[in-house]
Amino acid sequence: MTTLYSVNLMPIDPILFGDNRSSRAGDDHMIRDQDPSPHTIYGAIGSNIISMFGAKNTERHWETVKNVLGDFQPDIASGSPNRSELLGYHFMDTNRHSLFPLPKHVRLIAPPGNDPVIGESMVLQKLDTELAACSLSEFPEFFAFEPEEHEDEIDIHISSKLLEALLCGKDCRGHILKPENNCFARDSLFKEEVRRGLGMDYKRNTTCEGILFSRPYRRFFSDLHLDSGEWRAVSIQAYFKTLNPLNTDVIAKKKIAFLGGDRGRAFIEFVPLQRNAPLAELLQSVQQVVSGTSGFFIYLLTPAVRENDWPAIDNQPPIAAAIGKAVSISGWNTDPNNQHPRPMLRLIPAGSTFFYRWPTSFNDDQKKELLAKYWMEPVTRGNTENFRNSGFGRILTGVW
Amino acid sequence: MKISQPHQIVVIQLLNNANFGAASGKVTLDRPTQLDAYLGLPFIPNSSLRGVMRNWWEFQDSQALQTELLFGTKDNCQNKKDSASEEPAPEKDHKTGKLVIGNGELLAFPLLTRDGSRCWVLPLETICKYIAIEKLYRETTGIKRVINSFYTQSGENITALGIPELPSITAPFGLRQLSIETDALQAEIQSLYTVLCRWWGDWIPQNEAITILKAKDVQILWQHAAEIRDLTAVNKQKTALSQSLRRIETIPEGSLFLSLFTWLDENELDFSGDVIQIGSNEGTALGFSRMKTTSLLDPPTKHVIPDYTIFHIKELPHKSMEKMHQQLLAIARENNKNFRKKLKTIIRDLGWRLKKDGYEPAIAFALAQAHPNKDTSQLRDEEKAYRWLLKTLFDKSNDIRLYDGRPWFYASFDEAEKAVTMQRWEWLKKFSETELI
Repeated sequence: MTTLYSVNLMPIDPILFGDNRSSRAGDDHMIRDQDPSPHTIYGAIGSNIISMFGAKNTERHWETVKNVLGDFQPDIASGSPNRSELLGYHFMDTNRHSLFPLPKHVRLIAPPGNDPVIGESMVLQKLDTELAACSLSEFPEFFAFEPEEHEDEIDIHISSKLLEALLCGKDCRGHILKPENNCFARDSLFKEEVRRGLGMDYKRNTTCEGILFSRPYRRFFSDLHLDSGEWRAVSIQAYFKTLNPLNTDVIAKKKIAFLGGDRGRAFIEFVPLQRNAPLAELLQSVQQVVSGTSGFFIYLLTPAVRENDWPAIDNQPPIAAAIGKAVSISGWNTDPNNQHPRPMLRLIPAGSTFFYRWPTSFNDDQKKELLAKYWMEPVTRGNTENFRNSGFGRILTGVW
Repeated sequence: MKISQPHQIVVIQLLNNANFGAASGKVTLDRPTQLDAYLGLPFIPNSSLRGVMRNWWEFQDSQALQTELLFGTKDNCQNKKDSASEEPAPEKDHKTGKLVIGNGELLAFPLLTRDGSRCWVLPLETICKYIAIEKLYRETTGIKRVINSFYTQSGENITALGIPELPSITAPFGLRQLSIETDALQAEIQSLYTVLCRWWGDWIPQNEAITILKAKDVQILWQHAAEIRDLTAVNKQKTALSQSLRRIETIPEGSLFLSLFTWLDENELDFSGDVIQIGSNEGTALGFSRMKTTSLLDPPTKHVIPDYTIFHIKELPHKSMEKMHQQLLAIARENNKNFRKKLKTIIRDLGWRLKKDGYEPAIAFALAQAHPNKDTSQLRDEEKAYRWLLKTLFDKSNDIRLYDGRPWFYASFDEAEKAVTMQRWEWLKKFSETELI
């Protein structure tokens, strides 16, 4: 029996995924919405598994669930292959099509009034140095870069088919990004509902001084699916690995999980996966085109914690990268008797890509093996292994 | 209201108008209602519901133990001045509560019809969402055929499901009753009505029509239903305070909302607050509401759709149109101007008799005028016209007398037959204006 599961989280309530800013008056009292962090998803799934066993999220009540989730570990930075793992996640539309962040090295051309189109990917030039930050004036030394008219940075999620093509290093110039091609702008997947709030002292029927805040809830798009006659919302599709199989009777039924701030509710469904790796068909497509390529790249499926150095793969540092603006996350600790925020982490966002050369000695089989070895592994694998279990920095591998 | 299971749908009804204000205003409104970002329909923020329920609990619970169990510890800022002595209260470890309350999502709102009665408008998407939620803890019917019918039966007018019938409402678009083409669809509609009755119990009178539409169409009707109120502050001299005029949008009294409550304790939760006040402007008596859990049991038989209402339409409108047009074209080709003139008059007269006297008397009059026992060769044009009309409306290819000599109306008409004849008469009336000249 498998210990690998695809887990679908379909929000029922609007969900609050804050950016961990203070919401109190005096600090611009406005939280901004951002994508959920990996340990939000990890926590939602883990808590649901814990409730299946009647356990609690404390060390004292952990025994019954240890067999499935591993040792109790409150420190999310501590990584171990001997505990359950979140292998990655992405969005899914209401027709159950997988959606992924557009890789950051891909340029978008968005003429006004038209659907955005993929432009020319930046061509790597100067490849014999380590990755280093450069100023804009130095940029043309590293990349053959010609600015294009109407270039834009719209937040778009793409289909698995387009991701497959990009991971295989195919030329996708001119590909139109529109819903008919299963490419969705952010607004098509979710919208913000900003709510103001204030603290109330009901005994005096007055507002509490200094407690005025603003929170952007994320309402996920929903519609009615004609084939099944069901209500469906845009959902989060995650891949989770346990130490031992879960009870198939228990996971067969759809349940409710808590997700995000204010304990928003989501339907949660577990489906056992029989394949070796999630998204295995994408990996196979990439492995088939490995011959004749110059190198490989890693694509962050989930945000990675920015540690001291750029991520090395098989002890190789990257030679180029395209990364998005850093995001900050925090979250809450797991002690229900003494809840408090976790320390802030700075993340390299999902969709960021890092480029590497193939070792000169590698033949095609070794290249395929490397691609498989790191498929849906954390970017810290073989190194610090930090943040392994809670799903940070999970990567897909591609070729160029 | 008792909550005894982990997930329970709660229905909330406004006893008078309410405003759940949005953070921002509009050009014409100082305080519009908070709307769902996609459906464009109002909802009750869960924070409002939670705050009100917490407030109620705190007044009942002198030691605050039950309140903390349900809603968690208060923010330390709110704990600061906790006693009459205004001494700062000791800092507490924060604990989360066991009651999770969802947004109140709009299930139904009232709308006045042209004849002054009240009907209820329901968005299909909210119904489907809560059916999906209810499946977590009980067997509930699927309504796949109903959903598909809304999307496949499209046309010039907006498709709506009216139970028992489509009310006559003022709308910027035409409404067309969902055609019930199969018994399976009719059965689903019956099941859907049962679910709705189970949710609202007797909070919507059974004799008031309900109309189900897609949310994007309900959004337009909502704009007619929302009530705008002007409020102003008054000073001691009983004059309006300068710059105090506010225009707020309110949700009409009687509107129903559904909310999902999650209760994380094994013991039953008993909330006996009959009436609560939600939203803003409580000083002006806005927002009084009542709540109850939806029933787990189907309603008794009396709540099912009465037989005279939803019925299986045996002939779709476009089929009636085709048939009636062909019949009239055949008449138009005949060289009998007097007959055509009589027929046109008779078709028109049947209409006002149907309205004035009712269905059976109008048909009986037409049958009498048709002289069913008279020999065909002796009929005058007017009598022939009546016979033609009755045969065409009722598909009687033979003599209009029944074979055993009994009159036609020995047994009462069933509703399906009435609907088809009315549908056909409508087309005859329309086509007769141009074809029978």
